[in-house]
Amino acid sequence: MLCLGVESTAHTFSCAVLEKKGKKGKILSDVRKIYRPPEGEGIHPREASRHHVENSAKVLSESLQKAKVSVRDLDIVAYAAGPGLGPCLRVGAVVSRSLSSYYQIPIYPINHAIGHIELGKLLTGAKNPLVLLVSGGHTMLLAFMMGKWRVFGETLDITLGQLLDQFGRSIGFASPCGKQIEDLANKSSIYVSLPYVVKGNDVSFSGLLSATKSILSEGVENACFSLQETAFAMISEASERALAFTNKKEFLIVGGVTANKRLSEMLQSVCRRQNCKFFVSPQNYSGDCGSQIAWTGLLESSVKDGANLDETFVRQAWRLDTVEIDY
Amino acid sequence: MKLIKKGAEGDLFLTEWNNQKAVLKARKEKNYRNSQLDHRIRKQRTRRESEIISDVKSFGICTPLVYFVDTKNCTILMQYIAGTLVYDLPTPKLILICKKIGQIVGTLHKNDVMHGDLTTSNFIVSHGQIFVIDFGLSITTKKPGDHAVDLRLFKEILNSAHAPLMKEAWENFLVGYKTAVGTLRFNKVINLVSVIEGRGRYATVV
Amino acid sequence: MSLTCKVQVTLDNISKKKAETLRKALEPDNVNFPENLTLELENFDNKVVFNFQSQGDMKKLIATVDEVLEHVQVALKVIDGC
Repeated sequence: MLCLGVESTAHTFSCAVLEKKGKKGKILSDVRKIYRPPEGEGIHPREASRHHVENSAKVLSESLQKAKVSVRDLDIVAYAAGPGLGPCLRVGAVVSRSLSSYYQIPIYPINHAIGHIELGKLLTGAKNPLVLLVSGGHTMLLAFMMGKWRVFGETLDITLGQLLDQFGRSIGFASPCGKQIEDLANKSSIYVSLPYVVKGNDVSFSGLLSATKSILSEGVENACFSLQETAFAMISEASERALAFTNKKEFLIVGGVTANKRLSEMLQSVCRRQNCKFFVSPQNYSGDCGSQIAWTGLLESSVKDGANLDETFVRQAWRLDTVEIDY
Repeated sequence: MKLIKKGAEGDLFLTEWNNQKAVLKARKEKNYRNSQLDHRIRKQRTRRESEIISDVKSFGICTPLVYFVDTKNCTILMQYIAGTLVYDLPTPKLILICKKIGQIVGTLHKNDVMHGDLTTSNFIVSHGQIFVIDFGLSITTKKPGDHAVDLRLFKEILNSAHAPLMKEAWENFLVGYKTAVGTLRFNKVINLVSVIEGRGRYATVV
Repeated sequence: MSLTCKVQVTLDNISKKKAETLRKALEPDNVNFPENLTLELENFDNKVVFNFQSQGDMKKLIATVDEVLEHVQVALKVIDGC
C-alpha cells in the first residue's frame, strides 16, 4: 500500500511517499522546503503560505521521482488538516484534494500532532510509551488510553519551541532558532538564576522568557545556557512526574525541539532514574515532514475509508486529544 | 531503610521514629539539573513542604505529622499513613470521594494555600479520613488565577488517568469545592480555569 | 454607508475534468469567511467561474481573491505536473 503524505502546517512544506506492508512501514521519499522569515521576525502565515504555493508542485514531483512511483501508483493521499496556520494548511489541502479528485485517490485528513507520535513509534519501535511532544506548536505529555491520546501534562502558556524562538528573535535570529541558541549555550557553563515554574505535570514558560531577556547583560552565551538549563529541567521534571504517575515503562520524545542534544541528554537521565526505556525520533524525522502524515494516513486506511472530498476541511485548532483512534 | 517509591519529587523510604512507622522523603540530587538550580529547588521545596504540611492542619486538613526536617540534606521525616491512594480506588468510590477532595481543595484555597500538585496519587484514604500529601510545589497565594491552576491540573488528571469517570468525578469535585469557597469565588475561579485551558492547547506557531 | 463590490474571475478553456477538480479542491475552504464576504464557485463544461462579493472591507476581498488565485495555480500545476 502506497501513500503520499502532504505536510504544510507551519514553516515546512513537505511531500513524502511511504509504503506499508503488514505492520511495517518504509519511507520511500521525503522532500521538504522550509520557509525562513527575515532575521528577527516570526513566521508570517500568509508569507509562509506563498512560499508553500511556490514550492508545492516541485516538492510533490520530486517526492514521486525519488520514490520511483507515479501518481497513479498511489493508493491513498493524506494531508495535515491541523492544527496549524490557516493559510499554510490550505495549500497542502488544495494539493491533496486536487490529486484526490483528478486521479480518484482516497483522501485522509490527518492530525499533525498524532503524525509526530505515530512516526516516532514507527521509527523507534516504542510500543506503549509516555510521549513528550515538543515543537513550535506543542509542549505536551501524552499517553494512549482507551482509544485516545490523553494529556498528562502540558504548557500553561507558550510552548518550548515558542520560548526558544521568541528569545532567539529578540537577539536577532530568524525562527526557528533552537540550533543557534544551542550553539551559544554550548559556549557557556555559567548559570544565572532564572524562574523555574513547574505546576504538577504542567509547566509555564512566559515568565522565563521575559526573565531571560532581562539577563542578556550578563552575556548572551550565559543567557542561552541558563535558559536551556532552566527550561529543559522544567520539562524533564514534568516528564519525570508524569512517568512516575502513569508507571509507563517507555518514554518517547518527538517534535522539532528533540533535535537539541542537551534536552535529550537530560530526558535520558530522567529515564534512567525512573527505570524506563528511552526513545527519541531520529533527527531528520523529528521535525515537521510528510512522512508523519503519510504513515498516519496508512494506519487510518487500515480501519476506514477515505473522507468525502467536500468534508476535507482544515482545522486550525484541532486538538489531538479529540481524535479517536481505532487502528 | 526500605525504598518504597522512587518518586519524581524525591525518594521515599520506610523507617521508624520512636517505634512508629515513619517515611523519610529525600530530595536527592538530580544529576540532569544544573547543580546550582538543583540545589535551589530542593532546598526551597523541602522548606516549603515542611512548613505548609504543618500549617494546613490548623484549618482542619489531615496531613502527615512532620518529625524532623533537614534543609541541608533536603530530607523530611514524617508520619507514615497507612491506607489507599485515591488513584487506586475502585470507580464508584473514586467518583464519590471527589466531592470530599473538592471540599479539601476549597478549604486550602480559602486559606490562601495552593497545593500545586493535585493528582489522585497525592490523596490517601486512611481509616475513613482523607490525607493530603506532597506539598513540595505548594505556595501561599490569594490569587484566584493560582487556584485555577490547581483545579485545572486535577481536571487534566481526571481527564487522562481516569477518563471513563471524568464527568461524574469532576462534577462531584466542583460541588465539594463550591461548598467550601462559596458561589462568588467559585464562579471566578471556574472562569479562570477556562481561560487557562484556552491558552495552552490551542497554541499555534506565532 | 457600505459599498458592495463584486469580482468575477473566469477560467476558460479548461477540460471538464479539470474544472470539476478545481471546484472540488477549492470549495471546502469556503467556510468561516468574514461577514460581508462571499464566494460562489460554478463550473460549466469547460470553464470555472468564481463570484466574489464583499460589502465594505476591500482589503479582505483583495486578500481572498489573491489566495484563491494562488490555489487555482497550485491545483493546475499539481495536476499538470504529475
